[in-house]
Amino acid sequence: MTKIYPWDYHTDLTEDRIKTIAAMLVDGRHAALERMDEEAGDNGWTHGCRAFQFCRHRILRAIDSGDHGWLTAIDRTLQLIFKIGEVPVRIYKGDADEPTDRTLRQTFGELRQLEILFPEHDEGRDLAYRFAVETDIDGSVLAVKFVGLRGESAVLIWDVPLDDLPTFAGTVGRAASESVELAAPSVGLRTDRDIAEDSADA
Amino acid sequence: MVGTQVFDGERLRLARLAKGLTLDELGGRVSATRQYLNQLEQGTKQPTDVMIEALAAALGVTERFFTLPARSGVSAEQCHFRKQRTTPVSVVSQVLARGTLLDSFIDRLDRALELPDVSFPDLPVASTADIESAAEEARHQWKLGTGPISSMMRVVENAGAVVSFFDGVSERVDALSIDRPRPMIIRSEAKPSACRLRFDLAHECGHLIMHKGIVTGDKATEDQANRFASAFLLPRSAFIHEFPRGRMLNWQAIFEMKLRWKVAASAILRRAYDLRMVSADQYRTGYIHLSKTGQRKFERYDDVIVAEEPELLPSAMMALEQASPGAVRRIAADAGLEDGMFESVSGLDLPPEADMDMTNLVPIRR
Repeated sequence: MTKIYPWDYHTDLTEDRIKTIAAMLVDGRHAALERMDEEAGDNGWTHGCRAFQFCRHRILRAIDSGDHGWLTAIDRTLQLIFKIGEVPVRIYKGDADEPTDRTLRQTFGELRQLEILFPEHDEGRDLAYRFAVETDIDGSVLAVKFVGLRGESAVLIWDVPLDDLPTFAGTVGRAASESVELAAPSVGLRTDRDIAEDSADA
Repeated sequence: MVGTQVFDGERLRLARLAKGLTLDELGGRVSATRQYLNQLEQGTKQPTDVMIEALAAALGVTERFFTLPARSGVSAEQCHFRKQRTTPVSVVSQVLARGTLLDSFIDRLDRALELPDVSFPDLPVASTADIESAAEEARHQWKLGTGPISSMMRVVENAGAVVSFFDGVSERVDALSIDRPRPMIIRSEAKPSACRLRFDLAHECGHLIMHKGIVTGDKATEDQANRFASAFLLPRSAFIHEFPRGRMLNWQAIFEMKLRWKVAASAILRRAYDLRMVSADQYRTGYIHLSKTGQRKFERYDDVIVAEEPELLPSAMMALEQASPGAVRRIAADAGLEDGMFESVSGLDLPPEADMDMTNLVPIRR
């Protein structure tokens, strides 16, 4: 069977769980963006640090809250490796299909967990599972993708739906109606009678 | 001269904040210490008549302004503007103070004139789908069809909002709206491009429709208002029909859409991404293209799309002045505003004072 979605690779990687983590990443990045103050000296570097830490904090807080039994940590340091069910995952900011060396790096803990989890010849075993956060020029989150990296190539990329709108790739839409010409806003003088009526209403 | 009426320190504070002055700065203008002015604002001291005169002149208000009964001021949840957590409190206070003063003038104008009924629908939203529906519902209510909006200014003014201009407010605030019985939409950038102004107006329209009674200004509500503006100016179904599909971005077609819909190419690109008609990669590539070709601030064709000007406030003032010369000044004075402050809160000049020689003439009506 061809594997397309994260849950095809491992049943622990459910749509709801991935969406939950993605929402934490969006919230963390946007909270950091709200605190960005260029006048005070913030730049891409300070923002990047803050944004990563805010995301890390939200994930650790969710782990500690115990509200999500499926979410645990392997490494709570700044490297942050956490598990969705039993699958080890990390986060990075950047294009899903252009991972950097640092993104590709796998720790011993992560590799050992993958070995335990997947059968020897399973194609999911030698993947590095990551959340890739793609941002707009202003730092807003454009997309969160759940990625499975084999070497330098992303063999699994699932664009996590951040809103509830269906996609429109196949639809053709409808031609627009004519533009409506609008009159200038009307202004009239109130008569004494209007004013009296208004006062009576009040 | 204020006479026997009581000087209200709160009113002094309101005028000072509207002018964007610190206690020290105002003190420098009226030769008083900040401690003394603070005591006046706190109400622990009453000023002399000479000091009242000096304060009124320095702040561009009438002496009577300080004794007017305070109407309830504009509160934070009525005022929608992009407030980052880092926006200084002084900027927020200035915006609220100016809004309060403009509102006091417009309230009096509203009582003298028949202005368009306020017809912004109240449509709270919880999801992106709700925002799309709110934009469609507003278009439907205002009978705008699904075609290009001919004048975004007239849309909001016909819906009863007064559009005005605050001069000299921090660059951190580009546009804002104030949800009062007669809503106000304020620009603070002198000359935005025509497309940018239309988008800003649609954005504020979104706040007035979706965020009644909600404290806004954070990223989430700003994103909602942007999404509303985008959906209102470029309705989903028509956009899907017209946006050029293909592996590469078709810039010629995108700029033709810009001319037809009077929406910036960058906003068209964003709409295409929001509706997932282009990928994140295509969107980013397109944005970088606009940036590299020097179009981040001024895009191609920005100079041929005519800027929309506010009509309601100027024509209301003109109608009143024609019917009763000197009436606008009287209303401004009734609200305690002199020329300087009036210009600060409305972006308009008061009509020239009536010629004294004419005051003893009675017009003969035919």
